[in-house]
Amino acid sequence: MPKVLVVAETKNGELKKPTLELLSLAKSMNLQAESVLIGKEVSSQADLLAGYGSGKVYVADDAGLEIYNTSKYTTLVADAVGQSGATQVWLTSSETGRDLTPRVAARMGVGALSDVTELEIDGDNITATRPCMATKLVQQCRFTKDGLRVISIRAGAYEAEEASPQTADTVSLSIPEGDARVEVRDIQVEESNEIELNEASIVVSVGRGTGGTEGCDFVKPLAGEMGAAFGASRAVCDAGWMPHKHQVGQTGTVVSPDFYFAFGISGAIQHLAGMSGSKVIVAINKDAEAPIFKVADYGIVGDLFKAVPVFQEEVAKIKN
Amino acid sequence: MTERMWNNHEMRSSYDVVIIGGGAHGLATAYYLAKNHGITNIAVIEQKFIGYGGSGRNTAILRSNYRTEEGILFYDQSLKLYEDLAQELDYNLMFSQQGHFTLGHSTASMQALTTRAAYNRALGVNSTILDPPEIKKMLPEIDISNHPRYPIMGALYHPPGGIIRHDAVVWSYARGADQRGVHIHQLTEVQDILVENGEVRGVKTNRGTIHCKQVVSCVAGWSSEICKMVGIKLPLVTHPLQALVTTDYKPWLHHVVVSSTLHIYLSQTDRGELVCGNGIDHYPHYGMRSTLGFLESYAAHLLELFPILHNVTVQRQWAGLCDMTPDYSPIISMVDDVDGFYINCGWGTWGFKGSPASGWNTAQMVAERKTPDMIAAFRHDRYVKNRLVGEKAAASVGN
Amino acid sequence: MEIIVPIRQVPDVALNIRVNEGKVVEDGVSFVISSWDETAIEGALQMTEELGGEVTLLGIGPERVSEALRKGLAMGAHKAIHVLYEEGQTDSFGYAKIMAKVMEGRNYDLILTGKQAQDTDAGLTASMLAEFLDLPQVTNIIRFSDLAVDGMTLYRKGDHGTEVIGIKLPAVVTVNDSLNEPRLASMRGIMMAKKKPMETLSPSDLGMGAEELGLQGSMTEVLKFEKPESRKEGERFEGDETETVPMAIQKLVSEAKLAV
Ligand SMILES: Cc1cc2nc3c(=O)[nH]c(=O)nc-3n(C[C@H](O)[C@H](O)[C@H](O)COP(=O)(O)OP(=O)(O)OC[C@H]3O[C@@H](n4cnc5c(N)ncnc54)[C@H](O)[C@@H]3O)c2cc1C
Repeated sequence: MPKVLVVAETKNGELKKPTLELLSLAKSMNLQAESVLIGKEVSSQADLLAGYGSGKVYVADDAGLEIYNTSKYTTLVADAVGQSGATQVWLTSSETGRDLTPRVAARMGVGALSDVTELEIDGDNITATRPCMATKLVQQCRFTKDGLRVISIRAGAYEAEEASPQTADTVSLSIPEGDARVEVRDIQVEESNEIELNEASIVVSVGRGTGGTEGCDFVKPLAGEMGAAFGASRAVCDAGWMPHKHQVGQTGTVVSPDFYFAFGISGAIQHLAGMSGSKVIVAINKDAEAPIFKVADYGIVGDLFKAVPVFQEEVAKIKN
Repeated sequence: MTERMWNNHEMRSSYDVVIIGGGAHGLATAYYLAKNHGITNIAVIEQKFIGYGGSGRNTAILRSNYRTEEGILFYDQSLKLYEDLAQELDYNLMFSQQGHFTLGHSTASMQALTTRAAYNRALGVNSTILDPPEIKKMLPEIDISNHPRYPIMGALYHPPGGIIRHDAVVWSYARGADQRGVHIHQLTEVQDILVENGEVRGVKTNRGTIHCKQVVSCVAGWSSEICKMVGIKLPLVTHPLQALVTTDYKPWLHHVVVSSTLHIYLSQTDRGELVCGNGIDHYPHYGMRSTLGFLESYAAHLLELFPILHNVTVQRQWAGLCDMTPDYSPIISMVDDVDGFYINCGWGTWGFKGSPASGWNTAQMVAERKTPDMIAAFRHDRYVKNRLVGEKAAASVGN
Repeated sequence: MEIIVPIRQVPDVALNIRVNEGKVVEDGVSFVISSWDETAIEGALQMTEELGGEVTLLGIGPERVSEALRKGLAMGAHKAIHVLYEEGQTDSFGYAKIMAKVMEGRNYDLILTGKQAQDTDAGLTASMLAEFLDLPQVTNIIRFSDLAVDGMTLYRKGDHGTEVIGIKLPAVVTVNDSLNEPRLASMRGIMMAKKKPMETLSPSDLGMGAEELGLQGSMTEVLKFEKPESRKEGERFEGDETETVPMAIQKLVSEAKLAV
């Protein structure tokens, strides 16, 4: 019988949506699932994991786990795998997941499939579909050897069902020392209560067409008014107009919201690779030849500085 | 749609003339047919987009210092047409007649260059031989010492030669033709040519059949494919030719420099980039791939001429196809067995400079259905009749 | 500082990539250095320019990979190792095992490479290599500082901000393309590249047998490639923004069910 161990992720002590997507997926496939929950002051989330169908929840709750740490997390996940007897480990393809997936796999002496968008499971046979070549192609892969399957799954590839907390069956993991050669000192966060890019159902993004920080700030309120996460192209982040955490694209956050609004984004290949999974794409650009229009469902050829105020008016009308 | 330099039209089921190939030669032919001969019911059929072929990939060196009488007169006409073209088409073509050096590195090549200078002057084309100190005066950065493997012994200097903005030539011919009623159909590929009783009846494309009585093939590197459709075999071999452009530098090189011994040529654009190329790749091939081998040999040879360039960085490299003929001269010709079919090809590595004269004379040939004197030497059957035009010396790396 | 930069030669993904019967068509493809690896080369060059030492490139694959290595040498790397590897399909696990073998007995302070390869987009190899070598890893860095021969400070783009990490060398580090703008090769660099040392090794030179190579040495395999259904351009709105924007929004609400 396959058994899945889901590596849960939290932010500010709360479970992130992609984790819930993984548990919902396991449930929809009738797979037995357990989870491992790592962080600082995260224990309270175990019940929600249970509500989403997790059997045992392996918990490592420690002040020293506040910031992600490859070595400690790898040891903890490996420990949970050992205790649970899981045959599969599922992670999300967040920055944490991308770092942890290969390390956990190698620790367990097996391979991994990363950034999967479609998973088919038939007993121990797994076929995974994943984008490659900057999303120009998709590839279908499978594991060829026996042993543990380590898989990371793209946020938004599957839906999270609604569920309410239940009393969890928790197991405490012992907190490892961590690798003395690495010192995770600090995390530089721009405090905000903004919506996470890979969890939002609407993303409003800005590109070089904004012309600078002021231009970006001009568009930003619209994101707030639409209940959208605020994204940016690499050009904008590299120029320092917006912090890097806003970067959408293959090097930033890969997003697949229901609606993606691109203001003044030309559509470089790595940007397209990071957002072309969106259900509906709306592009606003002065340059009628901008490549973004090739993928846009609705393309507005025009000046974003004139378009944004009209957007704001129209959004206000819809809200009323 | 936003306004373009030329319009998109519905494809008609018939035209008077169909021109295959949206390069400079095809578009110039359409333009001069309309302008000089009042024939405007014309379609230019292009498989990809205007300028996809050599016309969008060349290094845009223009000159007329050829070796044979036929060649010199033809390219001189072309250069003169180029001189007035910007005004005629009302488009900035950035034509800079900055002068053209062909360097000689051996007694044999100096002899050949001296003969060329004499022929050129006899036919009224400005060409002179310069000695190394004179070269150094005009090209202060060049190494004229006897350290390099191939010391410079002299040069053929051709003041009217220079460079032009190649895309602008293509676009302005397209716009000029469009304004006179010519239809340009991009993303349309000719798949077959319909011939009945030795007469052209039309072309089959991926977007349907077009009826017409005259078809002009201006497809350069793709010519063998088109000629196969009407059963003509031409002695053409397609070779890739590579080029590169560096990042921009302040203007320092004020002339075009070519060395056939070192297989390189270079010029500097108004933006400051160096545009560089070399001889053809030595294997026939249809791929347009750029190679590291090209970069490596180019760098070595370039630094031999201009040692100061060692820190210059390469921005981009690319390749295009060249339709080489055995005598390094073009084929502009009617075909006796297929009435209404005209070939324009064999432009090799040097054909961009020929576009205006080629279009002018091809248009005249199509309109009058007879070969103009200017291009009489460029018939396709010269290879079987053994009347080759000996242009190899002047055309090889000369571009 | 001695730095080894594993680089991967990949099809240029900016160009059209064709698939035939589930396989990527190699004919007509132009091969380039994976862009993240170019960033790694640049990063390594900057480090050795500051601290001295050499940058060694490592490429695994058929003959054509030597072109990628020469391009990296032309950028300024000092030497290269080419594992001439014709065994075809191999996964990240398999490549990491080969790299681990190459590292055996070599002297290095840092292994620096791209965060993922532009063809597979998998991002697995470097961390697996780190585990096999029992080295610490930091992935996805956007900056480094406090360079010293035995350690440095790295800035990793994490989920919740920029993680500041002090690391002792040797270590495996992967780079995000925001780290730098890779330099272009100079004419002299291109010429010098031909003369720089390139060590060519076969898997058997590394003491690896058939069971460790190709699919046998892999844990996963690609069954087939496909072109995803490409997005088609939808509707265009041109004209005055006060007219086009309301029109587009109306359609977004009625056709696409936008709710705010
Ligand atoms: C790197 C390089 C550098 C060069 N440098 C110089 C230089 O400095 N000076 C100079 O004078 N010359 C130069 N040349 C040569 C010059 O570019 C060509 O000789 C010239 O552009 C040929 O123009 P064309 O219009 O005949 O053909 P092209 O511009 O090649 O146009 C032919 C067109 O036909 C189309 N076509 C082909 N088959 C079909 C079909 N079945 N149906 C529809 N359309 C079709 C193609 O898509 C193409 O657009 C250079 C060439 C290269 C590659």
